[in-house]
Amino acid sequence: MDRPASNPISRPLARAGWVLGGIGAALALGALLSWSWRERLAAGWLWGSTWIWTLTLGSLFFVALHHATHAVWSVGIRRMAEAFAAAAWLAGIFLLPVLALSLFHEAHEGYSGAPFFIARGLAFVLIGAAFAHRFVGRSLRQDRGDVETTLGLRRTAVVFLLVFAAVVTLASFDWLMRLEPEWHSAAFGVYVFSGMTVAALAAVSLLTLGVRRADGFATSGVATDDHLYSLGALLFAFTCFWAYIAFSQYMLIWYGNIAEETAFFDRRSRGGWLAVSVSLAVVRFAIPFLLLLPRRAKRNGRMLAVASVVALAGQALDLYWIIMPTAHEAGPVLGPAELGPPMMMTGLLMVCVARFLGRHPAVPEGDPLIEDCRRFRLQE
Amino acid sequence: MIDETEQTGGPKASGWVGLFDDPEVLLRAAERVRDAGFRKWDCHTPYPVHGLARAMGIRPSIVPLIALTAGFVGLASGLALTGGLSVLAYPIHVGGKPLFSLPAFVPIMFELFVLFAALAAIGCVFVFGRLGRWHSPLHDSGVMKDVTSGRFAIVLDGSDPVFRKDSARELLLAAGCLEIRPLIEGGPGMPVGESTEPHARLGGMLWRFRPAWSPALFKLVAGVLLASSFLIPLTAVALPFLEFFNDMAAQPKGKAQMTYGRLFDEAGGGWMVDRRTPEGTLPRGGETYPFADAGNTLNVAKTIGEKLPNPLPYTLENMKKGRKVFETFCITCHGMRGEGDGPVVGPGRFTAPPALDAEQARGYSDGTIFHIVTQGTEKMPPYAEFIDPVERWQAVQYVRVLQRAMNPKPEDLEGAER
Repeated sequence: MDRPASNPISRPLARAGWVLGGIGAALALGALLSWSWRERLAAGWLWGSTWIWTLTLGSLFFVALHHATHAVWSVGIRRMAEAFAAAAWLAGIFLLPVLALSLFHEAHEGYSGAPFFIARGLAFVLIGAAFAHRFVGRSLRQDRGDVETTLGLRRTAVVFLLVFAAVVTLASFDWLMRLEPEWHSAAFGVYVFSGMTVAALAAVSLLTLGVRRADGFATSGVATDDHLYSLGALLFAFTCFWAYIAFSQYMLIWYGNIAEETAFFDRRSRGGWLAVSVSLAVVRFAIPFLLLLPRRAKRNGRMLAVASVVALAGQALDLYWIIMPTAHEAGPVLGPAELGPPMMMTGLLMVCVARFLGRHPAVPEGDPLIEDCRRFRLQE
Repeated sequence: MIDETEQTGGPKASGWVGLFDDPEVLLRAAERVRDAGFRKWDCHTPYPVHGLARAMGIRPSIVPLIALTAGFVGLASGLALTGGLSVLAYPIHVGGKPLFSLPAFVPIMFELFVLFAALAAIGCVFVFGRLGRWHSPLHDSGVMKDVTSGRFAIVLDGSDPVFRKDSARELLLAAGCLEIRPLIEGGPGMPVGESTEPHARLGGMLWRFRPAWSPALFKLVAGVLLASSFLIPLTAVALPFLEFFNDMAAQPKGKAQMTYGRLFDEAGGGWMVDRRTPEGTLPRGGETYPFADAGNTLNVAKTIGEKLPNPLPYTLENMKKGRKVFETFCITCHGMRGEGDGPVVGPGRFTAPPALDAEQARGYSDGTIFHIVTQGTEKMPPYAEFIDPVERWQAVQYVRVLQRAMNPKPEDLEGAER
C-alpha cells in the first residue's frame, strides 16, 4: 500500500502546536518552580485536562453518532473527528495527575475514597481510549477496502453511546462537580455533555475548514457548502441545546431556592464572577446563536469559522467558570499558572492531530458510502 | 395533441403545462425558463428534486425574516403577559421572589417565541402560497394526477409579461418536454362533466360555487387569526380589570390564589393582600351564633348571659388554654391581670376598659362575658372573627381564675402548707 501524501495542513498545524505547547509548558514550569502557586497550578491543570478530555471524547461521540445514525453527509469529514478522537489517550495522560492528587486528600472512604476514585477515573479514560482505538483503527483499516467494517461499527456505536452517557455523567461528577462537595445537580452530566458536544463540533468544523482551505482533501467534493451547512446546523442545534440545559439547571435551582443547591450559583454571582457568569451566557449562547442563525451563515466557511472559534472559547470559559471559583473566591484570576497547562495541552493535542493527518488520508475512500456523501446536496 | 380544448366559447387556456419524465431534463429546462426571464411559473415534482430551487432561480425567501420578527413579537408578548400578570394584575409574592422575576418568565417567553414564529410561517403559506384557494386550474388539465404518479411538470402562467403563446410553447418543446397541455382556466362556463378525474370534477364544482373574492376572504381570515393571536396577551392583561357578569366569580368567600381587596400598608412595605374573612361567612365546621342579632349593649349581654351556660367543664387544661387566648388577644387593653392597664391604654391612646377583677365584672355570668367577647360592647370591638367559640369559653374560664387571684380570701390559703 502506498503511503498517502502528507496533508498540507499537517506541517503548519504541528509547528503551531509545538510553539503553543512550548509557551504553555514554560509558563506551567515557571508556576511549578514558584512553589506558592502550586494550588493555582493544580486548578489550571484540571482546567486544561478536562478541556482536552471534552474535545477528544466529544469528537468520539460525533464519530459514534455518525455510525449510529447511518449518516451519509459526514462520511467525508469523519476523519477530522477521528483525528481528535484518536488523541483520547492524551486526555487520559493529562488526567493522571488529577487522579493522583486525590491521594493527598484523606477523610474520604468508600465511593469518594482515593482508591476507588482513581480506579474509576482510569476506567473512564481507558473506555474512551479503547473505543477511540476501535473506531479510528477500523476506519483506517477500511481504507484498504472492506464493507463489513461499516456494519460492525454501527453496532459498536450503539454500545458506545450507552457507555458514553454513563462515563460522561460519572466522570463530570467526579472531576468537576466534586470540587464543591456540598453541591449537587442531577443535570450536571447533561450540562457537561452539551458543552462537550458543542466544543467537539466547533473543533471538527475548524479542522475541516482548515484542511479544505489548504486543499488538503485528497479528492474534493466531501466538504462542499452543503456539507458545511449540515455541520453548522448541528453546531447551532447543540448551542441551543446547551443554552436549554444550562438555563433549565439554573432556573430549577433558582426556583427551589434551597441553600445547598444555590451555593453553586451564589458563588458565581459574587465579586468578579458575576461578569464571568454573564459573559458565559453571551459567549456560549448569544453570539454563536446570532452568528449561525441565518441560513447563509452556515454555508459560509468564514462565518462558520468565526462561530466555531467563539464556541471553543465558550467551552474554555465554561470549564474555567466551573473550576476556578472554587479556587479563587474573590474573582477571576488568569496568570501563568492558569494559562500554562491548557496552552501546553492544546499545543500537544494540535501536534497529535497534525501527526494523525500527516500519516493517514483525510478522506475515508474505502467507506462504501463515500460516493453518496459526495453527491449529498441540500434539498432546494 | 395540443390545444384541442381551445375552441370558441369553451374554456380558455391561460398558460402551458410541459410534462417531463426525467428530473435531470427538468432541471435543464427550468434553467432555460429561468434564463428566458419568466417570473410567473412553477415546477411540480413527485418528490423534492435537489438543486431545483437553484435551477429555478428562486431568491432567498422573506419567510424566515417574517417568522423571526413574529418570534420576537412573541418574546415581547410573553414578557408582557407574564410581567403584566405578575406585577400588575396579580401582585402576589411567590416563594420570596420579586414580583418581576425574569427566570420564571423565560419559559413562557421562549414558548411564545416558537408559537408566534410557527404561526407566522403558517400564515405566510396562506398569504404567499395562496393555500386558501378552492381550486387550481392544474386540476382541470390533469397535471396533478401525472405529477403525483411519477412525472414532472413545468407550468407557465399566461399572465407573465414575458409570456407569448407560441414562443413559450417552443421554449418548452426545445427544453425537452415530452407533452404539452394547455392550462385551462375553468371559470363558470366550464362544463363539469368533461373532466374524467373525480377530484377534478369536485374541483370544478367548487369552482362553480366559488365566490369571486375567496382568496381575499382567506387572507382576511388568516389576517384576523394572526391579529387575534397578537391580541391574546393584551386581553389577558386587560381581562382582570374588566368585569361583565361577575356574580359567579365575585362571591363573598375566601378562595385560594385570589385577591379580594388590597390594603396599602406603609409599615408593611406597600400593597398587601386583605385576608380578612368576608362579612357573613362562616369557616368550615363553624357554627352560627344564635344571639348574633340581639345587640351588644351591656344589658342585652346580661340578659343573654342567663340563657347561655358555659358548655366546657372547668378543668386545669381549659384554663391554661384560656390563658393563652387571653394573653394573645386581651392583654393589649385589659392588661396582664385584667386591671385595664394594657400597653395600648393611656392618655392620647385607647380608653381604659373596666377592670375585670372589679365587683361588676365578677357579677357577670360566663354567658355574659362570652357575649361581650363575641359581639363587643361600647368601645370593645367584636372578637368572633379571631377567636373561635371554644377558645372564647376557655378565655372566660381564665378570666374567672384572674378574678379569684386578684381577690384572694383567707379560705384560699386553706390546705396550703407553711
